[in-house]
Amino acid sequence: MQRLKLIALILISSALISINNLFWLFACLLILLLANIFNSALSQLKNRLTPLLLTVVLLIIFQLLFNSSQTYSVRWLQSLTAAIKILSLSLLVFLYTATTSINQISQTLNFLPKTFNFMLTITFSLIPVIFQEAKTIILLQKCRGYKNLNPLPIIIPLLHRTLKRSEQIALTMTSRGY
Amino acid sequence: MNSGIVFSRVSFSYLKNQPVLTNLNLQIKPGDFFTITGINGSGKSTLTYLLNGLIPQQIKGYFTGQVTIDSVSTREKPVSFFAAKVGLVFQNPDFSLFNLTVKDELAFGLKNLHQDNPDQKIKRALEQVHMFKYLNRDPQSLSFGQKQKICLACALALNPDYLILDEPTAMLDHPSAIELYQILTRLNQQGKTIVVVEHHQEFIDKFSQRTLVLHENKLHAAA
Repeated sequence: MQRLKLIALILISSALISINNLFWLFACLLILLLANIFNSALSQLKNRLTPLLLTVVLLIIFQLLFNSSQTYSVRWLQSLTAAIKILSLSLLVFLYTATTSINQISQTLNFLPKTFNFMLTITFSLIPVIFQEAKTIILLQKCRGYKNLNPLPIIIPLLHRTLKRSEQIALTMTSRGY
Repeated sequence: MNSGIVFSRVSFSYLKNQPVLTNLNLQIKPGDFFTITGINGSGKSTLTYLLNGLIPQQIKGYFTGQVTIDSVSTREKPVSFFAAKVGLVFQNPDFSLFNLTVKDELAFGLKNLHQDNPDQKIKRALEQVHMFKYLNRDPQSLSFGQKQKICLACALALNPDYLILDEPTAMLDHPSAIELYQILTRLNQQGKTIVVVEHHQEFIDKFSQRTLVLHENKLHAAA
């Protein structure tokens, strides 16, 4: 079942990339949006979509301003197609990750070479940990008067801790005979 | 032959002319319950890295002298050779767990060393630390004390003769620390050699048979 889900994800993603018909793309976007709304809380979806919408708006602006070899109507069409594709693909991945646990994803990928699968497992297991760590660092910095303007006070300690963690994991792995 | 862990004139520094350990002579005998104590930065954690060959095999620096584990020099063999003999539990369990389930975490070392009956060994190790019911849990979802016990179980799964623990009670509440020491005492009575880096004098007085005090990079007392 999990493998079928992964195959479906790959096939639908490929279809979304290759389709250029705006009507079909819009239909896909609508279906995926509805599926996400039914599957997860609206606030969660909003949190995930907000940074994505900003990226899409920027993409449209850049297309309109700098794609000077095309007429304005073509620029609009191309930017809209790209925007819908990005949104649809992201919603598809949101849907997949919301309905599949990290453990299930890792098990689905067990056909990959052992070392590669192990590398993926470590990466998957550390994603939520690093997100949690980022939240903790934000809280700590806020306690010291941080005001969300400069990302460096968050990124530097996060990088430092992530590197320290990876170093420690390497030592632990070696100690366990890796 | 189990002749213990022997340090002969061991000196180590991460950077040139900044010694962390200087001219250390020490013997940890089989069956010992040994504690290492000392102020922060005195070289206790570095000493634990010397006990299973991480120094000089994995961690580079300026290393002189010799460490032997049951008469085999740590210079001669890779860390994987000593992994089944010396189990090392690091200070921060948050940084030592990297698999998706507790079972995978314990199976990792067993797979690396191609040991047979892994399921049986995992069950036995988890039962020794009273954590068998957490077999299929995500290690990151456990409490700090539980993670510490899982790290201990990871070492125990390989059935090592020597167990090294770097400040295992540093972030534990008092009952959890007592429980951990009771587990270690039981393992010591079963024949395992226990080496613990510890700050709390209470635990040293209550559980340790021999204590080594590190101060300013040197061994100051072995009582």
